[in-house]
Amino acid sequence: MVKATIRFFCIFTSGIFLWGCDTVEPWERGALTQYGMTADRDPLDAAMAEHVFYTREAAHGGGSVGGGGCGCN
Amino acid sequence: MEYIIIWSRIKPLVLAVLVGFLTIGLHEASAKVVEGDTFPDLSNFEFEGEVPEIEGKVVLVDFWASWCAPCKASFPAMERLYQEFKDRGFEIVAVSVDDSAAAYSRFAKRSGATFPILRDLGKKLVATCAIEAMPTSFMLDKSGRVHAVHQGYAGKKTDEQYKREILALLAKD
Repeated sequence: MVKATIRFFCIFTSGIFLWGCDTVEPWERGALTQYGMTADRDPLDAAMAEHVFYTREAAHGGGSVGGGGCGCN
Repeated sequence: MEYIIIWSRIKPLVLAVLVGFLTIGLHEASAKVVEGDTFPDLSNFEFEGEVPEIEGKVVLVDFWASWCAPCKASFPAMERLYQEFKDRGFEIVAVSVDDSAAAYSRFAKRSGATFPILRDLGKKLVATCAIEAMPTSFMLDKSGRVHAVHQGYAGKKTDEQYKREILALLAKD
Protein backbone atom coordinates (compact mmCIF):
# COMPACT_ATOMS: atom_id res chain seq x y z
CA MET A 1 0.00 0.00 0.00
CA VAL A 2 2.76 2.44 1.00
CA LYS A 3 4.79 1.55 -2.07
CA ALA A 4 1.78 2.09 -4.32
CA THR A 5 1.11 5.41 -2.63
CA ILE A 6 4.69 6.57 -3.12
CA ARG A 7 4.58 5.47 -6.75
CA PHE A 8 1.33 7.36 -7.28
CA PHE A 9 2.73 10.49 -5.64
CA CYS A 10 5.79 10.32 -7.90
CA ILE A 11 3.61 10.06 -11.01
CA PHE A 12 1.33 12.82 -9.78
CA THR A 13 4.24 15.15 -8.95
CA SER A 14 5.84 14.45 -12.34
CA GLY A 15 2.50 15.25 -13.96
CA ILE A 16 2.32 18.56 -12.13
CA PHE A 17 5.84 19.51 -13.19
CA LEU A 18 5.31 18.38 -16.79
CA TRP A 19 2.15 20.49 -16.84
CA GLY A 20 4.43 23.52 -16.65
CA CYS A 21 6.07 22.60 -19.98
CA ASP A 22 4.69 24.56 -22.89
CA THR A 23 5.63 25.31 -26.46
CA VAL A 24 5.88 28.77 -27.95
CA GLU A 25 3.03 28.95 -30.42
CA PRO A 26 3.83 30.20 -33.95
CA TRP A 27 1.90 33.42 -33.37
CA GLU A 28 3.84 34.13 -30.17
CA ARG A 29 7.25 34.01 -31.78
CA GLY A 30 7.41 37.75 -32.26
CA ALA A 31 9.05 37.93 -28.84
CA LEU A 32 11.89 35.72 -30.08
CA THR A 33 12.73 38.23 -32.80
CA GLN A 34 13.46 40.99 -30.31
CA TYR A 35 17.04 42.10 -29.86
CA GLY A 36 17.13 40.98 -26.25
CA MET A 37 16.41 37.40 -27.31
CA THR A 38 19.39 37.26 -29.66
CA ALA A 39 21.99 34.79 -28.42
CA ASP A 40 24.95 36.63 -30.00
CA ARG A 41 23.98 40.23 -29.29
CA ASP A 42 27.47 40.94 -27.91
CA PRO A 43 29.86 40.64 -30.91
CA LEU A 44 32.98 40.45 -28.70
CA ASP A 45 31.51 37.69 -26.54
CA ALA A 46 30.37 35.82 -29.64
CA ALA A 47 33.85 36.09 -31.20
CA MET A 48 35.48 34.83 -28.00
CA ALA A 49 33.09 31.90 -27.71
CA GLU A 50 33.65 31.06 -31.34
CA HIS A 51 37.42 31.15 -30.76
CA VAL A 52 37.13 28.81 -27.77
CA PHE A 53 35.01 26.31 -29.68
CA TYR A 54 37.35 26.49 -32.66
CA THR A 55 40.55 25.99 -30.69
CA ARG A 56 39.25 23.35 -28.28
CA GLU A 57 36.81 21.41 -30.36
CA ALA A 58 37.80 22.32 -33.92
CA ALA A 59 34.19 23.35 -34.32
CA HIS A 60 33.54 26.40 -36.42
CA GLY A 61 30.27 28.16 -37.22
CA GLY A 62 26.79 26.78 -36.87
CA GLY A 63 26.25 28.57 -33.60
CA SER A 64 23.32 30.59 -34.75
CA VAL A 65 20.26 30.34 -36.93
CA GLY A 66 18.83 32.58 -39.59
CA GLY A 67 15.30 33.82 -39.90
CA GLY A 68 12.95 36.00 -38.01
CA GLY A 69 11.83 33.45 -35.45
CA CYS A 70 8.56 32.57 -37.13
CA GLY A 71 9.75 29.03 -37.81
CA CYS A 72 8.91 29.39 -41.46
CA ASN A 73 12.33 29.60 -43.13
CA MET B 1 -1.14 4.16 9.65
CA GLU B 2 -2.68 7.61 9.91
CA TYR B 3 -0.90 8.54 6.72
CA ILE B 4 -2.56 5.66 4.85
CA ILE B 5 -5.98 6.70 6.11
CA ILE B 6 -5.41 10.32 5.03
CA TRP B 7 -4.16 9.15 1.66
CA SER B 8 -7.17 6.90 1.08
CA ARG B 9 -9.39 9.91 1.73
CA ILE B 10 -7.63 12.35 -0.58
CA LYS B 11 -6.87 9.80 -3.32
CA PRO B 12 -10.10 10.42 -5.28
CA LEU B 13 -9.46 14.18 -5.19
CA VAL B 14 -5.90 13.75 -6.43
CA LEU B 15 -7.10 11.45 -9.21
CA ALA B 16 -9.81 13.92 -10.20
CA VAL B 17 -7.28 16.76 -10.44
CA LEU B 18 -4.95 14.63 -12.57
CA VAL B 19 -7.74 13.54 -14.91
CA GLY B 20 -8.89 17.17 -15.10
CA PHE B 21 -5.43 18.34 -16.18
CA LEU B 22 -5.21 15.63 -18.83
CA THR B 23 -8.68 16.45 -20.17
CA ILE B 24 -7.89 20.16 -20.46
CA GLY B 25 -4.58 19.34 -22.16
CA LEU B 26 -6.24 17.07 -24.71
CA HIS B 27 -8.95 19.65 -25.37
CA GLU B 28 -6.35 22.37 -25.99
CA ALA B 29 -4.43 20.11 -28.35
CA SER B 30 -7.52 19.28 -30.39
CA ALA B 31 -8.96 22.83 -30.71
CA LYS B 32 -8.06 23.56 -34.28
CA VAL B 33 -9.78 24.77 -37.45
CA VAL B 34 -9.34 22.35 -40.34
CA GLU B 35 -10.71 21.87 -43.84
CA GLY B 36 -14.46 21.35 -43.81
CA ASP B 37 -14.98 23.24 -40.53
CA THR B 38 -17.02 26.39 -40.36
CA PHE B 39 -14.61 29.27 -39.77
CA PRO B 40 -15.16 31.08 -36.45
CA ASP B 41 -17.53 34.04 -36.63
CA LEU B 42 -15.35 37.16 -36.77
CA SER B 43 -17.96 39.18 -34.89
CA ASN B 44 -17.14 37.16 -31.76
CA PHE B 45 -13.59 38.52 -31.63
CA GLU B 46 -11.98 41.86 -30.97
CA PHE B 47 -9.93 43.53 -33.68
CA GLU B 48 -8.10 46.73 -34.35
CA GLY B 49 -9.48 47.80 -37.70
CA GLU B 50 -12.82 47.36 -39.36
CA VAL B 51 -14.11 43.86 -40.06
CA PRO B 52 -15.44 43.70 -43.64
CA GLU B 53 -18.72 42.12 -44.69
CA ILE B 54 -17.83 38.59 -45.76
CA GLU B 55 -21.18 36.84 -45.89
CA GLY B 56 -21.74 35.09 -49.20
CA LYS B 57 -18.20 35.82 -50.36
CA VAL B 58 -15.16 33.69 -51.06
CA VAL B 59 -12.73 34.81 -48.37
CA LEU B 60 -9.03 34.43 -47.78
CA VAL B 61 -8.24 34.86 -44.08
CA ASP B 62 -4.51 35.33 -43.75
CA PHE B 63 -2.65 35.37 -40.43
CA TRP B 64 0.47 37.48 -40.66
CA ALA B 65 2.90 39.46 -38.50
CA SER B 66 5.32 42.28 -39.12
CA TRP B 67 8.16 40.10 -37.78
CA CYS B 68 7.44 37.29 -40.26
CA ALA B 69 9.27 37.75 -43.56
CA PRO B 70 7.24 35.27 -45.68
CA CYS B 71 4.03 36.83 -44.40
CA LYS B 72 5.13 40.20 -45.69
CA ALA B 73 6.33 38.68 -48.96
CA SER B 74 2.80 37.41 -49.64
CA PHE B 75 1.20 40.86 -49.54
CA PRO B 76 1.91 41.96 -53.15
CA ALA B 77 0.46 38.69 -54.45
CA MET B 78 -2.61 39.01 -52.23
CA GLU B 79 -3.10 42.58 -53.46
CA ARG B 80 -3.00 41.37 -57.07
CA LEU B 81 -5.59 38.68 -56.31
CA TYR B 82 -7.76 41.19 -54.49
CA GLN B 83 -7.68 43.62 -57.41
CA GLU B 84 -8.45 40.83 -59.85
CA PHE B 85 -11.36 39.21 -58.00
CA LYS B 86 -12.84 41.71 -55.54
CA ASP B 87 -15.63 42.69 -57.91
CA ARG B 88 -16.62 39.06 -58.34
CA GLY B 89 -17.26 38.39 -54.65
CA PHE B 90 -13.80 37.77 -53.28
CA GLU B 91 -12.56 39.25 -50.02
CA ILE B 92 -9.27 39.15 -48.13
CA VAL B 93 -9.05 39.54 -44.37
CA ALA B 94 -5.44 39.92 -43.32
CA VAL B 95 -5.25 39.35 -39.56
CA SER B 96 -2.11 40.51 -37.82
CA VAL B 97 -0.92 38.74 -34.68
CA ASP B 98 1.48 41.54 -33.78
CA ASP B 99 1.83 42.54 -30.15
CA SER B 100 3.02 45.95 -31.20
CA ALA B 101 0.30 48.19 -32.59
CA ALA B 102 2.99 50.49 -33.98
CA ALA B 103 4.75 47.70 -35.90
CA TYR B 104 1.40 46.52 -37.22
CA SER B 105 0.27 49.90 -38.50
CA ARG B 106 3.73 50.73 -39.86
CA PHE B 107 3.71 47.66 -42.09
CA ALA B 108 0.02 47.96 -42.93
CA LYS B 109 0.65 51.47 -44.26
CA ARG B 110 3.91 50.65 -46.01
CA SER B 111 2.49 47.58 -47.76
CA GLY B 112 0.07 49.71 -49.76
CA ALA B 113 -2.54 46.95 -49.48
CA THR B 114 -6.11 47.98 -50.21
CA PHE B 115 -7.72 44.86 -48.72
CA PRO B 116 -8.91 44.90 -45.08
CA ILE B 117 -6.15 44.51 -42.53
CA LEU B 118 -6.96 43.84 -38.88
CA ARG B 119 -5.03 43.18 -35.69
CA ASP B 120 -6.20 40.30 -33.53
CA LEU B 121 -6.45 41.90 -30.09
CA GLY B 122 -5.63 39.36 -27.42
CA LYS B 123 -4.79 36.86 -30.19
CA LYS B 124 -8.01 35.02 -29.52
CA LEU B 125 -8.91 34.27 -33.13
CA VAL B 126 -5.47 32.89 -33.94
CA ALA B 127 -5.55 30.80 -30.76
CA THR B 128 -8.97 29.45 -31.75
CA CYS B 129 -7.66 28.51 -35.19
CA ALA B 130 -4.52 27.05 -33.55
CA ILE B 131 -2.34 27.60 -36.59
CA GLU B 132 0.89 25.66 -36.82
CA ALA B 133 3.06 28.04 -38.85
CA MET B 134 3.34 31.65 -39.87
CA PRO B 135 1.86 32.62 -42.24
CA THR B 136 -1.24 30.44 -42.38
CA SER B 137 -4.21 31.28 -44.54
CA PHE B 138 -7.71 29.84 -44.72
CA MET B 139 -9.62 29.86 -47.98
CA LEU B 140 -13.32 30.00 -47.15
CA ASP B 141 -16.16 29.20 -49.49
CA LYS B 142 -19.30 31.33 -49.80
CA SER B 143 -20.93 29.57 -46.85
CA GLY B 144 -17.99 30.33 -44.54
CA ARG B 145 -16.64 26.79 -44.57
CA VAL B 146 -12.89 26.20 -44.75
CA HIS B 147 -12.08 24.95 -48.24
CA ALA B 148 -8.29 24.87 -47.84
CA VAL B 149 -5.61 25.69 -45.29
CA HIS B 150 -2.28 27.02 -46.55
CA GLN B 151 0.75 26.85 -44.27
CA GLY B 152 3.68 29.09 -45.13
CA TYR B 153 4.09 31.04 -48.33
CA ALA B 154 5.90 29.44 -51.27
CA GLY B 155 5.72 32.35 -53.73
CA LYS B 156 4.42 31.50 -57.19
CA LYS B 157 3.28 28.02 -56.17
CA THR B 158 1.03 29.41 -53.41
CA ASP B 159 -0.21 32.21 -55.70
CA GLU B 160 -1.30 29.66 -58.29
CA GLN B 161 -3.04 27.54 -55.65
CA TYR B 162 -4.89 30.62 -54.37
CA LYS B 163 -6.00 31.54 -57.87
CA ARG B 164 -7.18 28.02 -58.70
CA GLU B 165 -9.16 27.82 -55.48
CA ILE B 166 -10.70 31.29 -55.87
CA LEU B 167 -11.83 30.54 -59.42
CA ALA B 168 -13.31 27.19 -58.39
CA LEU B 169 -15.13 28.65 -55.38
CA LEU B 170 -16.45 31.68 -57.25
CA ALA B 171 -17.86 29.36 -59.90
CA LYS B 172 -19.86 27.47 -57.25
CA ASP B 173 -23.30 28.70 -56.19
